[in-house]
Amino acid sequence: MSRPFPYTYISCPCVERPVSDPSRKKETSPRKGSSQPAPEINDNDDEEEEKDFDPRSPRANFSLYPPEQLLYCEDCHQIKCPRCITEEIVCWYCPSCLFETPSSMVRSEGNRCARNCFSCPICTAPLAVSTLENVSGSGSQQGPWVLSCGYCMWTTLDIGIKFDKPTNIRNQLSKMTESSRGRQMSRAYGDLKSPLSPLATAYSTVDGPEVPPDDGKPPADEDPAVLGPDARFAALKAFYRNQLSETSASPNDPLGTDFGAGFSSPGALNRIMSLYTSSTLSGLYGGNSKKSKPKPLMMREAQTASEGLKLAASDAEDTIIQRMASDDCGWEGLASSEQRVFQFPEARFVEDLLPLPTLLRTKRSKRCKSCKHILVKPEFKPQSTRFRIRLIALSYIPLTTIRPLAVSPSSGVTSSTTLLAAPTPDLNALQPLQPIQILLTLKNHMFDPVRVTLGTPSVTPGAVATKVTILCPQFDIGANSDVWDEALQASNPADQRSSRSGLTGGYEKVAEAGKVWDKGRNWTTVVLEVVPGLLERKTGTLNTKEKKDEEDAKDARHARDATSDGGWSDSDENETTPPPGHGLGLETQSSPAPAQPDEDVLEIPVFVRMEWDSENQMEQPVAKGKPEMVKRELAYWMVLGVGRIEY
Amino acid sequence: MDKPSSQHLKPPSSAIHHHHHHHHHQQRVSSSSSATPRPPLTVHASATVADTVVFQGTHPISIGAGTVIHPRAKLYSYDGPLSIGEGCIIGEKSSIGASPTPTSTTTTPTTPTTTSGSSEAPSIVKTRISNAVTIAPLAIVFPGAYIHSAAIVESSATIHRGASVGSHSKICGGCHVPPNGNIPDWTVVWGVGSNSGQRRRKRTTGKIVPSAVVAAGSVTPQQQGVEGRLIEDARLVVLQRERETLVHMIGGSATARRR
Ligand SMILES: [Zn+2]
Ligand SMILES: [Zn+2]
Ligand SMILES: [Zn+2]
Ligand SMILES: [Zn+2]
Repeated sequence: MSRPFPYTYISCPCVERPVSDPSRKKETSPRKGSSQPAPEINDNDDEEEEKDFDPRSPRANFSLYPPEQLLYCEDCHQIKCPRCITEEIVCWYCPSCLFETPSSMVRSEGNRCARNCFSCPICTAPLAVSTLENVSGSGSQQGPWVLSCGYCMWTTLDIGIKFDKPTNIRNQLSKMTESSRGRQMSRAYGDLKSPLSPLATAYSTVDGPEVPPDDGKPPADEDPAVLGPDARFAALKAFYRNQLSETSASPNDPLGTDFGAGFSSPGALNRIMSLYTSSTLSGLYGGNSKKSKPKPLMMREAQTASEGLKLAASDAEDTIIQRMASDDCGWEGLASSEQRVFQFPEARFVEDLLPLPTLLRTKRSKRCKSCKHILVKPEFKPQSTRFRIRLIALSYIPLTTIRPLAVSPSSGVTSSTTLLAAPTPDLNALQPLQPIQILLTLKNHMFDPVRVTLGTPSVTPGAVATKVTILCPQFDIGANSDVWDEALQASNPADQRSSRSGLTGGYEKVAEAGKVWDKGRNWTTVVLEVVPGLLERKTGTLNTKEKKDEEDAKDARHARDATSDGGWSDSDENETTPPPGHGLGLETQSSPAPAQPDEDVLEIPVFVRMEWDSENQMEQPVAKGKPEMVKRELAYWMVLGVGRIEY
Repeated sequence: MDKPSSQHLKPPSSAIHHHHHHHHHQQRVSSSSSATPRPPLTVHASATVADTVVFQGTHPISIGAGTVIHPRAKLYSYDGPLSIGEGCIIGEKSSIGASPTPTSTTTTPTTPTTTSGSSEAPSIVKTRISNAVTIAPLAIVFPGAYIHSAAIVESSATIHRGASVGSHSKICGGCHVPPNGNIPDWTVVWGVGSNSGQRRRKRTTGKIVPSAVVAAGSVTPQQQGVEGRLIEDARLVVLQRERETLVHMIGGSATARRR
């Protein structure tokens, strides 16, 4: 619904698994919207209610895609939506510097650029590395350098940081933000390092217990926990790993393989058991305590700062609150929750925010889920936007475009009109019960001609019953042959041109049942006749009510919709027996069927079935002159978003 | 603004306007170009004004030294005098002041009919743009606004009536400063929309000591000590260069106008 009218969505056939026989479907489900109007309406209702695609059903949202997002598998001969494919990462790269990062490094260092690419911690815009040499008066000497945001004008000077050289900014930053004393710790920046990183565990616990606070440090940092957040994480991780290995069981522990390391630790088990074998019960289960004779080590928690323990200062929260309340902080000085998402947990104020290394992106290849054939394979190089393989659905299924034909002055069923004289209807305000004609153009991108059969329910599903008739439901579309071949071969190119110019010519063109409206080299246009349904019958006469009343009624309906839980099924029930024409307005008014949001949007489900002959390239040896021709067919539902019916 | 080197482009025909301003309004609505009131213009000799800049209104408009005004910028002085300081860049299709057409958003009590008469003194609002201000393309500055020196109004941003933008402040693209709003000095208004989506940020001017979270202990004193103001100094140097380039680009055609 978010797209402007008119639009087209295609329902991936995977929505109905197992896929039913398309040939059977053709006969039973869609009523051919041909010239015969009335008699069929009531006959096949029972058949239709199961088969017809309802764009309003909650499930429909999961199968409808814009055509350009769909792929096509040449082996399954089927449309493939994002749910029908699997993805594989081809490469990781930084969108800013276009450098590729090996996936092993991504695993160890995290999925962020390791060079000079950062985004603004305030507004997320990319940061530029810029020099201060012009103004700082350092003359011939280059630098110092800062990261600066061109949008919100944040710079690293806002957090008191500048760089000595314009390269390897991330390394420089990590050295600054990590503890200066831990020799090993300086390597432990990886501020956003993957927690699974093996490197993060490589640092053994630091030996020296407590170190006096550093010289260049603000007074707020005087607590013993001088480790940076990352170093502390690494220290804690190393500590617990040590604890696990020290307290873990012998290899013949039967539980060792079944459970994770945590459960295999006898220390942990012992602790759990001791809960049950406490004083009163110890007499009953006395034998147990004797059994576990070689008393295993108990796992303990981190106890020193070097092990990663950080004691919060007793007045830490008061300090924060006072800072928040102070005048120079204010609302602007507080970091928003969005800004804090990727920062250290301690970061509460904007001056605590660090620039964020740019997130890496991936290039992915895509495979068909059912046959594993590759559907999309991009070029490996990050700089290239080309694809080695890309089987997009629109190379196979016809590209569908719709546009309204000019409004006819008389509301006759098969009306005639000139494009120049009459205005085209406003798709955002379609008049109820006023017939419009819609040009439906299907353009073939295959090199084989295609025979298309269209079907649509005569009345659209949903509370608003719009009558739809396809004047010419069966037609051919030419092959997407070479334009010049066509021009040279064509016996009567003038015919095509005249038919096309007929659109804009002075004479009236009449949409006839059973005849295509227009036809070109690889496209065909047919006419859809649509009578938009009535949204609701108001108490007064139509069009005399004031706009405000309409809004109220709309709100009331929405409210009802929100409160009633049986809303969907009720309306479904309603649409199975759609009384033709005007009767419906009364029906919706009297029945308790609640309206759905966007019920005024006119969406027409159309069943498309295409048949064509193609060369069998798969199994056929190339020896023969004429390759064997194979009959192919493809069927799917599409939804035409025509417009919005006016209240 | 009235420098000795200033040129007077048009004599202030205020007498005529005062007598006939009611007629002018009717004629203006009918958009006959001859009836469009030309404001008394004072343009410094070193200013660069493109050919297609629109000057309209009844009150004086002054443009300071070194200021560059891009093509199709619109400067209106119906609501009161308009002064633009030195070294400013006024972007393409930007709009300063308000046109008297009914379609404009001037739904405040000070409609052009009441303001253009000098007898009704209190309804005259002065629109001021100080020195070294950047008004980006498509930005809108309404009458009565005061843009202080070295401020930036980014493209499609709107400064509403009577609002004040402090010096060295920046109103990011698409942002709004509400009527009579006050943006302090060194403040960046950024984000989306007019109210809730819009955020403010104070720019750093002095030396910043890294917070405990940022620097876990290693930022040494010699690494600090650069003032945030340096960044702004650098920006103004670049702005100066940009103006010099623009004078060559726009200036060629604009000299014809000034003669
Ligand atoms: Zn699918
Ligand atoms: Zn990068
Ligand atoms: Zn920013
Ligand atoms: Zn497949």
